[in-house]
Amino acid sequence: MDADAAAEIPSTATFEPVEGDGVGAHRLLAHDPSPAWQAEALRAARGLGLAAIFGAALGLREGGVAIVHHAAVVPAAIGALLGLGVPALHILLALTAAPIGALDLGGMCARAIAAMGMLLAGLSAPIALLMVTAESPASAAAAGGAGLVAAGALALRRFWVELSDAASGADARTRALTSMLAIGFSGFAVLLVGRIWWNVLALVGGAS
Amino acid sequence: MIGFDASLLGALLREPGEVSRRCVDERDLAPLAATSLGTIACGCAVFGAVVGCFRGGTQIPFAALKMPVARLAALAICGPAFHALAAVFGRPWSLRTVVALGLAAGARASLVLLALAPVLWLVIDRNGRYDAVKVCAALAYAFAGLAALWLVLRALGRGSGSTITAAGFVAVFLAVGGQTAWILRPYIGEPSDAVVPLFVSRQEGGVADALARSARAVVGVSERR
Repeated sequence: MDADAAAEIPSTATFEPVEGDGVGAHRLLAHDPSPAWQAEALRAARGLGLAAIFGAALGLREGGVAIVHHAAVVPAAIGALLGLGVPALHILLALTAAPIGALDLGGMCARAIAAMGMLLAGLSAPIALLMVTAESPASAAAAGGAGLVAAGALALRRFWVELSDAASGADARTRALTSMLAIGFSGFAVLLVGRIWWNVLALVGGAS
Repeated sequence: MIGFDASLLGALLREPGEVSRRCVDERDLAPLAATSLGTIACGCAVFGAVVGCFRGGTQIPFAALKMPVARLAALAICGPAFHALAAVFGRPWSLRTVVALGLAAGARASLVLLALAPVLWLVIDRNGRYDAVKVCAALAYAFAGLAALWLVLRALGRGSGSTITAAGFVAVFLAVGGQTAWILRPYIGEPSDAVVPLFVSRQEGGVADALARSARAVVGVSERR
């Protein structure tokens, strides 16, 4: 995803309510006017569940237990980031006096995971087709890897935009520090999630 | 009973903006979907039959049958991906809208294929080589794809996220459309095959490799001349 294209990704705050079955997608991704831990946890859980569908599609290349294995590993890596990276980010944000509470940060993470899960679930059918029918293992790995990278980039971008929006009312020093923390968190996220996927998913280089 | 509405064919070609608005607003989608399905089936079948003319015989009905199946299968597989891409980039359209839009775009592309079928037939009739026919068919598909993309772009509008959503649609459809077409090959039939099989079971790399080989062969022929 290039920089210009990434810049076009809207914040969820710009979503307008719509009628029809698109409402489900809208609710999953939009800001909750009265956020609560339970609702945000449920949103994140839905996102992880949707990501598991993509994992299962990746596992179709090997079949059998690999389907369950891949379905578990794809969301598990995101769960590891939630457990290891987000609390640390919250502590560092508090040190910089950024006006971002724990629930705000949790909501941002939940919406980013929901967006990632929705994209991954949507890509599951195309990926399943490629996993089952691609003649070259390299082509299958490239397609699966591209899906994971695209969804990961989308989630990070969405998280970054929301974090910047939340810090926009602070002074210049705090905004600069928040941006630096966002860069650091993004690097940590790429390294941690990438390491888990690379080491554990047979498709992209690891061993199942 | 919902049937084929021929008056919609003109709208698909001349008023892509109106058709895309109709999909997004979810207005009267049933006749549009039925007409689009019929158009895809007929347009792709005719194009497939022309492609099959290269070998003739049973290859004509085989290719005429496989071409629309490949197109419709690709649209069915891409539907959820289009829905998700639109939603995460700011357009939480209903699945109904996404499916209608995909069918309408597919129908527009099929009409373009129908228009280009005589040109391809002429290439075959003038003893066009196997690789040249393959490249011409791929170019016709690319041109038809651009016509479909135009309709999708009108639906996306100029709002935030439209470029990346369109790029996502194109990337997903290229991968899935190429793969479904590859699975159901052959359409033309290798000249080296004494009898063209209904489906190829041997390993041949992939659709991109095959097209690159043919393009190189076509360029090689021109250079020798």
